[in-house]
Amino acid sequence: MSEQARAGVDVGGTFTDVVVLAEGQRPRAIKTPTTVDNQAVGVETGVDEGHDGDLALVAHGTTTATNAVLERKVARTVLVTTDGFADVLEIARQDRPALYDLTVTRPAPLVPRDLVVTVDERTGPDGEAVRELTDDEIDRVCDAVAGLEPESVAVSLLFAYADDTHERRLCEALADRIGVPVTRSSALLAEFREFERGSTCALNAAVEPVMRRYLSNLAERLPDPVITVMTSGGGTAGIEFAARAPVHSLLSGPAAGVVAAGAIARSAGFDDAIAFDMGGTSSDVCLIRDGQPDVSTSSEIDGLPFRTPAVGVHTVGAGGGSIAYVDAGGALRVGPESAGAQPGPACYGKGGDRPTVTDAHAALGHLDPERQLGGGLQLDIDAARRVLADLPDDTDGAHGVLRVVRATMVRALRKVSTERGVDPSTLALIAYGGAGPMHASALARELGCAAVVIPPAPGVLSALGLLLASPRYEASRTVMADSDADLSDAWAELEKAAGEELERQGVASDVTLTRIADARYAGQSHELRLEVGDGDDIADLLHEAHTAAYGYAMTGEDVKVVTLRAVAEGRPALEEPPADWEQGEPAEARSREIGVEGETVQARVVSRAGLSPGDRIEGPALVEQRDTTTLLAPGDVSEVDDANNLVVRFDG
Amino acid sequence: MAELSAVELEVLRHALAGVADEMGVALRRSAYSPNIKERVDCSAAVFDRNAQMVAQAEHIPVHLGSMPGSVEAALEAFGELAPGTQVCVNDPYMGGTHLPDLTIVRAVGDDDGQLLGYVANRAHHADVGGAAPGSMPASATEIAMEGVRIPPVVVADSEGEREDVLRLIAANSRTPWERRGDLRAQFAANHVGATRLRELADRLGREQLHEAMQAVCNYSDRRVRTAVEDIPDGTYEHRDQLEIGDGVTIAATVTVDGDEVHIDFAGSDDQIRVNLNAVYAVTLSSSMFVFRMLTDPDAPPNAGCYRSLRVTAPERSVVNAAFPAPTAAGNVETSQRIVDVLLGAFAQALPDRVPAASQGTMNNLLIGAAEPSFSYYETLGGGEGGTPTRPGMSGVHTAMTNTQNTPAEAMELDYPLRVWRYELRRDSGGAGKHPGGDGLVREIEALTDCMLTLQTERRERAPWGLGGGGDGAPGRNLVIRADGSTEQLGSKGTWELRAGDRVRIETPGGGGWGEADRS
Repeated sequence: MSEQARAGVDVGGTFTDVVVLAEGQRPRAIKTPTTVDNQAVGVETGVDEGHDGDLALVAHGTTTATNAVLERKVARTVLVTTDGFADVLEIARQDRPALYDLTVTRPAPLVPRDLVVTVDERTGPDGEAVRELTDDEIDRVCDAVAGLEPESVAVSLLFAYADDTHERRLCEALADRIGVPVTRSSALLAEFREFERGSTCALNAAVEPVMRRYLSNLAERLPDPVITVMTSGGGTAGIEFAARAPVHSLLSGPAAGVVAAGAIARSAGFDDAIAFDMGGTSSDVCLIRDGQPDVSTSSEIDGLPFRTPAVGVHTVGAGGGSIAYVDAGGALRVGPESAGAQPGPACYGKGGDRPTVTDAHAALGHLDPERQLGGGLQLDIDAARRVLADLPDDTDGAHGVLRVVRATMVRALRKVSTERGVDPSTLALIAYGGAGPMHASALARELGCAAVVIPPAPGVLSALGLLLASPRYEASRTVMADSDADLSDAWAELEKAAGEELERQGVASDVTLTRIADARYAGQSHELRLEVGDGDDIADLLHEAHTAAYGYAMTGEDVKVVTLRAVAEGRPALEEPPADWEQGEPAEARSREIGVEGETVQARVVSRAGLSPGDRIEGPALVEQRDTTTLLAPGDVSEVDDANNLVVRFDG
Repeated sequence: MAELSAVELEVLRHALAGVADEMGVALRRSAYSPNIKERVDCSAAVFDRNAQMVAQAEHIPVHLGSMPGSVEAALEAFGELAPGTQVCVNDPYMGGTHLPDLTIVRAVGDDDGQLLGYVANRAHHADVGGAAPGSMPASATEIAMEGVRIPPVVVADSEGEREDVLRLIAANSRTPWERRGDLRAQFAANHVGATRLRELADRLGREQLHEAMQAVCNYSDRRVRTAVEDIPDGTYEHRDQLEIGDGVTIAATVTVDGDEVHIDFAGSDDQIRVNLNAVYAVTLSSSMFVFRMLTDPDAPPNAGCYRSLRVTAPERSVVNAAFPAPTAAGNVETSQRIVDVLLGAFAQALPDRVPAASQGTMNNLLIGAAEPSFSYYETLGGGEGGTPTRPGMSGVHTAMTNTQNTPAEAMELDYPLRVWRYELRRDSGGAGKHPGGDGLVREIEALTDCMLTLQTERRERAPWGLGGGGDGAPGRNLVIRADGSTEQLGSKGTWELRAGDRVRIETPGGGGWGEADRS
């Protein structure tokens, strides 16, 4: 790619973040308000503000598809499925969402029963036609579907992953007859388990028109640059693919930040890390191994499952706006209820009258009392103290609130580390988001991490991640074969499909292909994901992976190869995170009395903009920058590394 | 002095729950039986040095009350356990539930050899011998036919694991190698639990840890008692029947007095020579399930949650069975009926809180053959009862279980079976202001000659409606023979299937809640 300007544009709930990299200039970060009704307006504003010349690339992260599902503002979708399976989406996996809580119920299926059309046909597990699909039946189904006046159609027939003949014939006829998008399950996800494939297919169909409308509007506003869209799995895709297969970007929100966290970890010399993003209402954590985020092929959005790759983010309902209260048993609780943006924490002076995590920081002096909140508002520390004083005496006020929120976070961090058999002492905690760096050092100490790394621009890490992500496409097919079967034809077919898809998207160069097999022992029903190199024996790989994950292998058992995957990947727009950010003018070093761990201490207050590689800051200290503050406890020693990361190392 | 500040309480609650969670994850990740890995038929818990449960990873309600029983049985058998000693038990009459559930209890000590507490985990093993694969033979008339019975035995001590005992346990299974894998997973889970508990003791100090454990239990106790006080005082009775012969009665009297509840099962029938006997631990679990649902479902699960609950049941009855009564299905079917009986009683006290009866069965379905050799087992969801705030869910597992289904595309790959219908059973939920959920229809064709075994309930006596709501439709079990003729099958039994025959199971709908609007 030539040295033209490139922009990463990430749309969040409140702000649209833009990072621009232009030849001969330092990277720039811009924040502009998100335009909720049409995110493209804010994107255009942010891009214009960030750059006035030609842009070669806009790498885009959007929550358009996500919000459409969460708010159920999706297209009127008809599901076409095999006779006898009309309720596949409603029955799901027959489990209920809560064991004891009677108030919790399952989400309504995305396609209601009266918009389901069933077909007289049947394919068997070996791809054989058990009941033929007749032309008359195709006509009848087309009539029935047309009569329901859909905006989009999902077709998911039983065993279509094994043989797609019936699905293809039906979809072609539907496309001819009805001028709306048709999603074919075997094209989207040629994998077994009818509910998960059907749910993935229905989600895709339901958001397709919404996403297509949004992306074509965006392309009109930004006619010149190539536009890529972030996928949930941490890759990028071309704009046409993103419009056709929007289910791939349903959970793209946290993906970009996690990709960037992986690159930051590497730049600081750590292969393994946990990405820790703490925002206003919740926190996301994700394990990173070898610089790569954990990727799962089993995710859900608002109770609706899908099986396209997504980064394995674990979310807890605790953030800066989380509200503290004492429950009926006398325990201090924090979250999941949040003060949100309105009224916000009490110290924001917008009517918040219940104590939040941010109020605890304000009361303990962690936040700059001179800080401007926008709209001419100033931090109201007295208000924070007032609402905290309403908590009973034995809650220890602000200190207690912070200890409790830390306990919640530590449990989340353990879920993605110790519960997966990963020793935290090998991990760096990469902290970002508005509140992450404030809590990172205390959390890392408690969990026993090797280090904390605060990136140079933690407030726009997601926008940066968009440029660090590679164009990627994964083609998959369930084969259900023995491990000694000849799979070379199936591999070749998949690699061709993956490579061609990426080429068609027109956003990738230097494409490499990786083979992945999902395999298990005969009789088990959950697969392990194995990367298959030249000459590798899948059974050996499974024994190895099983030992790593579970402590033993079953060398005497037959090995089943369930699903094959070919991953095509191109080069990212940016290979390494930049170090030389525009940080603005540093403020003069000061000192301030703050509360840490129940003590009152005098802390240095330094400006991140004034720091350069090699500088050391010893706690207690506050390192302030535009959109976040890093809190260093007494005993913490931080150093700025060559990549301009602020790194705190812990011994042993 | 066992009280902590509001902050310590919340911090330590998380820490103890984290220990149980990590044990549960370790168990699931390393187990071999699909019952453990996929169906999550397992649980893990942490106990203080007096064998009081202080945290539990909740996966399946039927283990709620039976975990503490296993630890008590281990201590009763051996007095005190030296740190590091591990005891295995599955005896339903001594802290177990049914034979496939194996529990391993481990005593945990600190570096000075002082006892910190116990960790324990339980897992449903796929086979522990007996008259039929899966160790739940429908024909069993006594427990000896159901598999190997393990009273508390030491399986590991300071010298390490006891190979001889483990070999004995494994040798009594149809799949010894698999048993070893699952037992290894259970040891691994206890190892994780012991390590984490020691870390906590290192951080807090031994006595402080003990006090924290008491405080967390006291906290749950306070929360639950606050909720119990909202239940009107009084005595409430209800009874219902299992569909065996002319009916086997389960009766309960619930007495609410201030912040305490006593459940007494006096009036229930004697134990039977059919495998639907519930041992006390199962009856206790079912009672705890209803109690938790109606008081404070979010209170940290520990012994404190149940200090305000007392459960008594007549000896040698169908809800407190003794040797040699067979117990395999007491866990899966009788537990469901006990829940119905208790909901019926509590409904008189809390008409605006209690839901109508749910399907009240797990619809145990087993199809298999020796040649070609296969064995398919699953339980089917049905209709949930309507609740005072919403309609019942359709096609879900209710009350004492919550396992997932087998996808048709997985089933046909693994077994000589074809699924022709898997849909909701329309209009099977009871009418009402909040209607009951619909049951399911599952229609499966046998592609080879094989045997069908069913253990089902609510085929005659419908799940009842509440507050003027209608009953749900009872379930039906049918065979459609290859020649097109249809036979109705009983609720329990074993039948031959020929290639081309279809089994059609229609599961019960849930009862409706409240009178339907007339319009």
